[in-house]
Amino acid sequence: MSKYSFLNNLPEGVICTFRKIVFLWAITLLIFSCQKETETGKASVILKTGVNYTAEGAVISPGGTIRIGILASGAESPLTYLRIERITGNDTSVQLDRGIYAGREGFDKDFSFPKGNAETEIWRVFVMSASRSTASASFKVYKGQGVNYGQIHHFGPLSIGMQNNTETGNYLDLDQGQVYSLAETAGKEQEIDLVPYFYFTSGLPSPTFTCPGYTSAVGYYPAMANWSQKNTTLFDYYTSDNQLVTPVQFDAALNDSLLITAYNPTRVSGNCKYAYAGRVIPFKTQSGKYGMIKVIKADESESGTIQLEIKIQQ
Amino acid sequence: MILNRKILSGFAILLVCLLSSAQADGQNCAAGKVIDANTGEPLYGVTITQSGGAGTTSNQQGDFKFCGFSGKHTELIFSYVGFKSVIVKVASGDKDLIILLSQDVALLEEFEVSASRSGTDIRNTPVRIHRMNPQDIEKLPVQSADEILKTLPGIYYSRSFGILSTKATVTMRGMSGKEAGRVLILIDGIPVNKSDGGGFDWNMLDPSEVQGIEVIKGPGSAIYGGNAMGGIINILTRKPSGKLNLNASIDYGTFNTLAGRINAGGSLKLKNPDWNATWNFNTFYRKSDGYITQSEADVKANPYIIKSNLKEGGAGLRAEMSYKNQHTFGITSNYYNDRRGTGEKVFQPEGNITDHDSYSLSMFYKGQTGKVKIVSSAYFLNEDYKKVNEYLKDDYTWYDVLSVRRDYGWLTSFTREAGKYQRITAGVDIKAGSVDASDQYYTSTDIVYNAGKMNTWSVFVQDELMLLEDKLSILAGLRYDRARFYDGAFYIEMPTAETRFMEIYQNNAMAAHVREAISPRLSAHYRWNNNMRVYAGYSRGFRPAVLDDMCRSGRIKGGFKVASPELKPEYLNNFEIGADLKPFTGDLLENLKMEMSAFWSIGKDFQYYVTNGQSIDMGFGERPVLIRANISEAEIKGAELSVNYELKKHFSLYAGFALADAKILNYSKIALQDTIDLSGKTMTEVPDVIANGGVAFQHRIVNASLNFRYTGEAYINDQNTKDDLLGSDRYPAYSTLDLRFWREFYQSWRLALNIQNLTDVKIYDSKYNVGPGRFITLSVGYSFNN
Repeated sequence: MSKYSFLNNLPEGVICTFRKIVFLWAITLLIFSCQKETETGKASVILKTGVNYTAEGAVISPGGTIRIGILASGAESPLTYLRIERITGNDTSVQLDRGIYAGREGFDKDFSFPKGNAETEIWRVFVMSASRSTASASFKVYKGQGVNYGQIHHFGPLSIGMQNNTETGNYLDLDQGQVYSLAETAGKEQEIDLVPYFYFTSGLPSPTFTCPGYTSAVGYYPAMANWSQKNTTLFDYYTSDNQLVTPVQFDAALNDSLLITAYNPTRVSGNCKYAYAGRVIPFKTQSGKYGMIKVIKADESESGTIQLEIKIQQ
Repeated sequence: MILNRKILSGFAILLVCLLSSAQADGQNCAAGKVIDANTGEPLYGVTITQSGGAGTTSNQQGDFKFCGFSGKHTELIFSYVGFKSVIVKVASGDKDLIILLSQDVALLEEFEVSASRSGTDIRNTPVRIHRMNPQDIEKLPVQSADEILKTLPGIYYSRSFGILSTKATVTMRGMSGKEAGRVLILIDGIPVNKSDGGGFDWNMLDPSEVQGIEVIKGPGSAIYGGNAMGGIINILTRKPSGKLNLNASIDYGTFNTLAGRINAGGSLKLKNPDWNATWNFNTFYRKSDGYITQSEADVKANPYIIKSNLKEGGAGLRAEMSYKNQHTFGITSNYYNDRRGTGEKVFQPEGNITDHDSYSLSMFYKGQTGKVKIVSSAYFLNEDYKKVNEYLKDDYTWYDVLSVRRDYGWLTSFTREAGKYQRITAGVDIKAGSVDASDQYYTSTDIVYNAGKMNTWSVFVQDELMLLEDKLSILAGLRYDRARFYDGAFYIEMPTAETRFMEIYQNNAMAAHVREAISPRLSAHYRWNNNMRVYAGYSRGFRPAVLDDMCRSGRIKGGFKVASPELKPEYLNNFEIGADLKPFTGDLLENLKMEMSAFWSIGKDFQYYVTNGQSIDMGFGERPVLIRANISEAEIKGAELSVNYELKKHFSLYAGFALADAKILNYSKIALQDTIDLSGKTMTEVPDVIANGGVAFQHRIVNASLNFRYTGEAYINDQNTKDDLLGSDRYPAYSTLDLRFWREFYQSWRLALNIQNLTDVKIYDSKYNVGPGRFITLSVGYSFNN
């Protein structure tokens, strides 16, 4: 008789035991099984047409405005990504790269960009839904005669107060170069493009520009939580951090050429840290205007001020 | 919702079925009370078995009822830890049996421990071991299994948000609280540290499932291999007792936390008397509305902050069969699912969450063939991890982290008595781990992949010598581990500005390589008598590089980490002395026991994040590029003292005090530009002092326990510099006080009130997120033993 004969002829009781175990296992699996449903949808994008939008084959001088109207949908899935590219020959330059969230109502928004120097430009709009379905649409524009760089406003020097400064206004309208106190913003919320604050980050003191549309701005300016419109201004922090535009260049700018070309859309944020004196910060407002801020003086205090000059497209 | 309803209805059905079956059988019964012969006190938890397997346990009043034996008479074996077992012949219908058990001092501490993998009892193992029994655990007001360890001396425990924490860490012996992989976690002897991150998901183990815990302090890689640097924690899960037993409870408490648990088990009657079978089933579910963990400043700054919350559930089934009590086969399966909201919600239905789908299957065989005892286990652990990240700054970002982590292996050991004084154990372990993960973006086209595998095989041998009538015990061991890393990859599909900065770090085919570790142990103790023991020893531990460090690049706090496929294991050589004392004789202080240890460890090739001299713009300015590297030695020294006292079973006291000093030595930079020098700095999250203590009081009106814990200051970062958020270089020291009251009603019902952090101390983590503060639960339970 084999030493391991007990393994050969399992008694009925053992088999019965295993049956019970399997039954209990089945109950366990039944209780904890959870079917996950996934939605699928096909994204779509349509470019608006009409006098307000740049048409296929349009001829536009460098510095002129390209206007793009976008209607897009993710079908059953929310639309979550929008990218606008300028393609010139083999070079693709991303002009806008945004995460969005558009549900069943779809996405309907207009954008404007400056025409570059290339003879032909293909403008491509690319969208993606949460189910990773993608769609794109594009049009071609040609270079027109001459240049179409526009006039600019020059405001300043202006002083704006940091978050705890109650003496100097904290709310800045970049379009008009106007500084408002909180009380004065009533009814003008949609005009405000910039608010400053001071804090320490990564061990460094940081006078910082932010905008009402940047989520954490309400931490410094709680009153903005109730604003019905909160503008998002995008600051080119890369150009600022690396001081790619000097104050001398800022002073010399007489039209919007530098304002447009200095702005690098791939390194932008609604929050711009380290706004130290002497830095020039390109920006783009929610209304699509390009501009630059020259920081003249920046206090390293929550109740201090920032003194600056602004150049912005008219 | 569907899952919730299923779970709740499952609970209800199971409860009804089990209760009705529990009440059904009542023939051929004998009942009585088990009493301590010395004190006259009832004994709770005495195991009462019939020769052949079926059994039950005594309740808190010492009462027992044993049913289901065939014939008019049977022999029952009454056994209890620290007491001499007795065999009593009982008759069907006996109702008022009085069973007296006498304490056996020699047996007080004898139980099998995992330190040696040979079944050696604790008294003959020359290392520092702590063990917690069901009676110890019952006294603790805990919500999570890892919290049980808080009462042991020198255990550092981190669970920032209580039950809402997505991860918890338990370390010891000066090992950093940031490094979960420096302590080996075993469940019933199966290693559960993941190859991917090195840690264990403590949330998947419900505390009601824990029957006992063994903690072996100091390195133990000579017998268990990787991760056993600071120590080994072996969790012993609940085993069935009696023909049928049932425990069910419902808890309700702070943050609208609701939990339900059912545990049932028993033995099955088989036609063939040579076979014996037992089974155990458990399931639990818990939900909590939670609280806001972020700081007030964060809440002001972010309108999308919500409460961190929790839903979790799990189930497990265990079955064992034994043949003539010589061969035992077992199989265990477990399933766990959780969904923990991490406190921010923008557009996703549940906001930011972590979600674990974990399941495991293990099988074991224990038996004896001739003079050789064999223990062999095979296991498979799978974790499907999902983390939803969404936030809105100037635009919306949404991505999921999806990761499949697998670990499986086969562990086998053979033990043979070699003469009267010697026991030799040898074995082979084969383990494999893998990760296959991706960060899938929805607000851009990017998909970032990382993957890797590691196979380890090991051989070990161990010699235990018991000399001078077992007074001198020597434990010597040696283990060789060989690990092969392969199929490592990190790459990106369709990158945009979100991840393009990582492109230069892509590596689709990381070079395979082999790492080896040799882990010796030599320790000895001398026991003059049952009241005094001294021990000394040397042991080595190592932690293998984890797949996450080797294969994944990505954002981390303070910079960007790049994959480090060449990472080597880190090692710890430990020298230790200690003593156990029972200094007093006489009735009152006879049961006062003191344990003390002192250790000195030298670490080699310790792994740290260091800058490689590069910087990177991840979309918010330049940040340093960090890489995990073996860059330093470490010196860790410390001492531990614990005192336990028990007076006539109804009053017990414990206290622990531990000091640790963990310094980084000989930091070697890998980049000339690295301005940081960690030499002489203290390791992160190693409290200088940990003190704890508690009393438990059992009374017929109510039982109560009070537990105190002091956690000393600990450095926040390895540079020992001031942290911007916390405004200090160290976490402040803090003390907590936990209370538990409980009592039984009508023999089967139990009511318990648990109060954790009675004084509502606010404890902040490195992100200035705050802990839950005072946490109260009320529990109603029912238990049945047949």
